[in-house]
Amino acid sequence: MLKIENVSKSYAKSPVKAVDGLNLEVRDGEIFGFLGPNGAGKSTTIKMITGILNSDSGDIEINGISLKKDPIKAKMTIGYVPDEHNTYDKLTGNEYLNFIGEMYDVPQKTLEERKAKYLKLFHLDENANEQIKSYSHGMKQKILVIAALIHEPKLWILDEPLTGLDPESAFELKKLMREQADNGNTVFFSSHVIDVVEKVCDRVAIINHGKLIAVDTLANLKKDKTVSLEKIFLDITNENNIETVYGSKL
Amino acid sequence: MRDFSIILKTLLRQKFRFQKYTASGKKNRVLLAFIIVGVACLPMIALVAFSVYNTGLVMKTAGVVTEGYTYLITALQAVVLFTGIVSMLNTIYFSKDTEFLLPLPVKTSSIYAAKLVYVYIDELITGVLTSLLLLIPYAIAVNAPFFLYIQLLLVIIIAPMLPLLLGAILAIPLMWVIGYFKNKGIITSIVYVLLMGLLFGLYYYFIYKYTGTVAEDSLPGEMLARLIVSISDGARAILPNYLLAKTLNPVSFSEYILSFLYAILMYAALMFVAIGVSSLVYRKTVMKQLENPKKKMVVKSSEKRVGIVGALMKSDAKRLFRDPNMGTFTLFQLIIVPIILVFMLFQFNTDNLGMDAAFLKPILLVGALAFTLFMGMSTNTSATSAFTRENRNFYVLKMLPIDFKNILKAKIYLAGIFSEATLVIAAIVAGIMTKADWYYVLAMIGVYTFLNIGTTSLQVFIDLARPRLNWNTFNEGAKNNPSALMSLLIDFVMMIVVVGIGGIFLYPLFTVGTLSAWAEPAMWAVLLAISLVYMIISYEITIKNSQKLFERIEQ
Repeated sequence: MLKIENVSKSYAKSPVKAVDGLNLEVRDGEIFGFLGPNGAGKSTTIKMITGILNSDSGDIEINGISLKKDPIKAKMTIGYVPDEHNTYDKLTGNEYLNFIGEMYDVPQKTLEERKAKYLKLFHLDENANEQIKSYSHGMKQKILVIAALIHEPKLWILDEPLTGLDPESAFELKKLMREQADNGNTVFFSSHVIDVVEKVCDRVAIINHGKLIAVDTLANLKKDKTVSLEKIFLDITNENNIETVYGSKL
Repeated sequence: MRDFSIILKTLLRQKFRFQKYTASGKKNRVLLAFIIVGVACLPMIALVAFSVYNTGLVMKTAGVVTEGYTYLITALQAVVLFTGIVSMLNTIYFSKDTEFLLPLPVKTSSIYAAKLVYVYIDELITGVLTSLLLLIPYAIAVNAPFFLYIQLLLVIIIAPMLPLLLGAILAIPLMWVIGYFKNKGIITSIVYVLLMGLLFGLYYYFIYKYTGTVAEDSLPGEMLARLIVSISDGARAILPNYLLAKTLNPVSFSEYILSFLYAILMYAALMFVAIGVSSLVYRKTVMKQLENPKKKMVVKSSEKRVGIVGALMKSDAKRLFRDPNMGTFTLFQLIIVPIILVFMLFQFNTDNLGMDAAFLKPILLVGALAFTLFMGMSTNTSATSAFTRENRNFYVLKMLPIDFKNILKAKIYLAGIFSEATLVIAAIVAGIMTKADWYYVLAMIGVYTFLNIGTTSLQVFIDLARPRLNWNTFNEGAKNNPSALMSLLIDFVMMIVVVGIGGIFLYPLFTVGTLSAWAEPAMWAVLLAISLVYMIISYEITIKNSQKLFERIEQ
């Protein structure tokens, strides 16, 4: 379970808060969609959850462990797929997974089994001994997905995970997300592809200007069944329409 | 021409645009770091300037003023070559912007020329600073008339072109060889560094062949005459520089005009050849660098567990050596420091100086210790860029569920290994060449090791305080970063302390000509003790204060 309590974040000397008093609770066993326009604060939030950025105030709890009080224990339960494909591209896929496995203290035998399973699933087994720099965009994304799963995290965070994936791999990824959720784990998923969010997520949050605008199940958000999530998203993120849609700002 | 100027302008803007805040949100004080280092190095600057001034007086008396200018211009070019050649290759051939620039609808020659000029402008700063040290004091010593100082400015602008143009031409076969070894992991970096070492070796051999250090007072007339002929011949052999030098000491106005014209023509011809030939093969060469053939590496699927610190070091080392940019910077010191030390000790040997070995040996050993410490430690890029080289992957370190102390130790140990290797090689070279007793060589290695651990820790600590992340070429991150600058200062202070302690204990050599039996052992004991204390303090400061710096960095 992920609990974000009154978290705020400003960047150096910027008067505007990138994330402003964010409160959010994501339950075990659910796929949670995190939506927002460019610059809304999605990546900043995700980076705070993963410990890459420090929050200015508030706290984040992962499975009851405070990220501020015990960051190492909290990080042990997280798997993170970043939005940019920056990684150790001079290492081979195998070397990278071995490195991550050792960092997350995955037993050698288990690591080998999981590597074999996921590399095969994403058709990377043939390329595992090639340097990551020679991988295509989608292949890099796949190796990052595998690296995030190698220690079977309780909380799986994916920032724009479908970018660059071929249809088959995208399908496998969505299936994996569902499997993770069905196993009682939490999937926190940020995307611009609203159609995918609509199909995959159990609950959705929308953020704009660093503030949470809406959080609910898809069914509740879509009061009018004929209206798409895309339309709702566009209406909500257009500030003038918030009050029309929800009566008042959240 | 329009394309050329647009590309050049963009490259310069990218390089020199001042970042107000660092990755850790602190105010960027790189300029302040430059000033602090500059002020701290003032005594050394004054010492070098004074030596050059005295050399100028001697050259004037010997009637070889033009030849002196030639050697100083060549020395200036050596500095530019030292600082610029790796930058040039990295900027032109290994830069990440190539993928962006090549698809643009502009001539390849425009891209090539813009990059070459960009490197030249970058290196001009080094050239100008070196000139202030070398050419100005010399000009004052030889009583150069005022108008020649204006000519001196032109020479300062023109001279750095030669090493860069020669480097551009030499880069063609060099890149061909590197292309051949591409994707062979560490072999690429080693081949690259060996070729660079060869280039420097040839350069220093040339300088050594045509020059010699001779105690002027002890020279008989015949020997002095031979030396003057040797200096004269050597200077004329470096024709483009000799012509430039003649414009600084012309016999007549017509000689000035002719020399300047010839020099300009030679430089223009060289530029024409360099840009013409290089740009012809540039596209093919960089495209070869961009190719990422799906080559399987011979690695075991399962690797032996080495613990968290070991795994971090292993991953870091692999990334370091599989990148020719970083690999070269890292291995450069291993090759270049011993090469320069060998040539220095050759020049200062007893035959050349006509001095007694018993007198010279302890002095040379302390000199070698001080020089190697300064050169070996200040060029340890693996320490000064310990966190900077993580670049856009810095986030990986932050998200890993491990104690930061492990990351810090891995960085210090890995960087320390490279400088330790350089220093041990240097100690062995110095021991052999000065015929020093084995126990002094061991003591030297001990001093090196303690100072190395202390300094490497501080270098990593300073880089962590102000890392340069999000670079496009490793050059941008590694050169002129605060850690490299502050490291120069630390290494300089270290050198002064070593020379100072050496001076105190070896002083009787200069007064009574002999040393008491305890002087050398006592000197090494004091050096060992001070280094040990320095190591403990530096390491402790680093370990205790780094965590908060790491947490502050945001990407």
